[in-house]
Amino acid sequence: MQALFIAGCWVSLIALGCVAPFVMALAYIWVDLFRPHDVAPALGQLLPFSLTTAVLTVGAYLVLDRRDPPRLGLLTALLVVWAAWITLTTSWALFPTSAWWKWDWAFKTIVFTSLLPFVFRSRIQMEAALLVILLCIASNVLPFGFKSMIGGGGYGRAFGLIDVNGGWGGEGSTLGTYAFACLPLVAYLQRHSVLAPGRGLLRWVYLAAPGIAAIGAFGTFARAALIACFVWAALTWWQSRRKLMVAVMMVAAATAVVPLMGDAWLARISTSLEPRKDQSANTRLMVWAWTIDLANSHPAGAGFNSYLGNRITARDEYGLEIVQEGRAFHSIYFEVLGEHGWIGLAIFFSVFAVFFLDMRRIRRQVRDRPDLEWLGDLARALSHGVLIFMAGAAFVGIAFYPLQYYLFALAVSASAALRRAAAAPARTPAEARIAPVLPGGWRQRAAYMRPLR
Amino acid sequence: MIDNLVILATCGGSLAIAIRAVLMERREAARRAAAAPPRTRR
Repeated sequence: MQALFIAGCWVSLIALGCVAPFVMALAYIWVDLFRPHDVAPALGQLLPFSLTTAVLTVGAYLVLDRRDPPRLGLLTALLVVWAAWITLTTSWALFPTSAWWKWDWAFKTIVFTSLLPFVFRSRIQMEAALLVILLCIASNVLPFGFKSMIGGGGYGRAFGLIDVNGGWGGEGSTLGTYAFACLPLVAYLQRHSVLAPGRGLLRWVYLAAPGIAAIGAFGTFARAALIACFVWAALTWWQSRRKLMVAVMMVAAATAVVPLMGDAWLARISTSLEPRKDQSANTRLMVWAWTIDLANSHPAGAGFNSYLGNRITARDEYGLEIVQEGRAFHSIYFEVLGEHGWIGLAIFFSVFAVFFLDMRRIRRQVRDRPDLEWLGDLARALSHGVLIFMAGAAFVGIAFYPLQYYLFALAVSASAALRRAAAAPARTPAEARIAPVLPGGWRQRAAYMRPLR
Repeated sequence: MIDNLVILATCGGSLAIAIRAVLMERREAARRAAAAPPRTRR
C-alpha cells in the first residue's frame, strides 16, 4: 500500500510534468532527496527512478520549455570546472574501482543541479523547488523527531524512512546538519511564500519547524547537529530585531531541551569539548592529519575514496593499541582535500566564495526595490542555509550530497530572476512616466531607473 | 504508523505544491497576457 502510494505520487508528478516541464525537475528533486527506491525497495526493482526522471526532465525541457535561459555566471562555470576536476582526479585515483563508483553519482549530482536554473525561472517555480526540498528533508527529520520524543533517541539508530547507510536520510550527522540548514529557508517561506503562505494551519507548521528540527537532529546524538544548531542560533539572533528577547527565548529553549535529551546525549555531546578523550573523535583528528600528509604527497588529488588507504594506530582508554584501516574523512573539507588535492579544495572553496558574493550582490541590489524584497530575503536565507551546512558538514563527509548543490542552483536562478526584474523597468515605457514623481533628488531617480547589473 | 503518516504528509504535500505551482503559473501567465498592450502591425 505504501509502495503503491509512493508510486502514485511519482506517476502524478511525471504526468503533471508533461504539462508543465518544471514539475519534471521537481520530480527529480523528489526522487533524489526522498529516495522512493530506498523507502520502498520493491519499487527500486521495478524501475530505475533517478535515471528515468532525469531523462524525462532533460527531454521535457528540450522539447517543451527551451526559452529565456539564464546567463551562465561564474558560479555555474565553477560548478562545471568542479565536475571536470573530479573527473580528472578519478582518472588517476589510488582506488579506481571504488573511485569510479563514487564519481558516477557525484558527477551526476553536480552536472544535473547545474542544469536546474534553466528550468526554475520564476518566483513560483523557485519556491516550488524550495518547498519540495524542504518536504523531502522533513520526510526523514519528522520520524526522527517523533520517535525520539516517544522512545528517546540514540546514535546510529535507524529512525528515518531510510536505513542508516541508505543515503543522507538515515545517517545522523547528515540529517542533523540538513535539519538546521533548512531552517533559514523555512523562515523565508513563512514570510514570503505565495504557494504556502504562513496563514492558518500553515502558520503553526512554520512556527513548529525549529522545534521539530531540533528534536529530530538532537535525537540522532550527532555532534555535527550541535555545531549546526549553534551557527543557526547565532545567525537567527544576529538577524533578529529584538536581540534581548530572542536571546532569552533561546536560553529558555536550551534549558528546556537539554534535560529532556538525557544523560547519554549529554555524555556523547560533552566529548566534543575533549576530542582526545573520545576514541571516535580522536581517530577523526588522526585521519585529518593523515589527509594533510596525503594531500602534500598528492597535491592534484588521490581520487575518490582515497581514505581506503589510511591506517590509523591509536590507544584505547586501557592503553591497548588499536589499528584501524580505511577510516572515512568525516568532514567535507578533508574529504575534498584527500580526494581532490589542494587544487580541488581551492575550486571547492571558490564555489562557496562566489556563491556568498552573488547572494551579497543580490541583497545590495534589491535594497531600494520593495517589490523585490522577497529576492533579497531569499538570497539571505540561501546564504545562511549554506553557512549552517558548512559548519555542520565540517564533521561529516557529505561534499557530494545534493542539498548544497540544490541551494547553488537556486542561487543561480535567483541571480537570473534579479537580472530579468532589473531589466524590466528600463524597458517599460510606463516606468519612465513614473520616474519624475518618485521621491528624492535626480540622482535617486536616476539610480532607480538605471538597469541593475 | 508514524512513517506512513509522514510519507502521506510529505509526498502528498510535494504533489499539492506541484499542482498549486502549475495553477498559479497559469494564472500569472494569463494575467500578464491580459495586461500586455495589444500588438499592432505597421
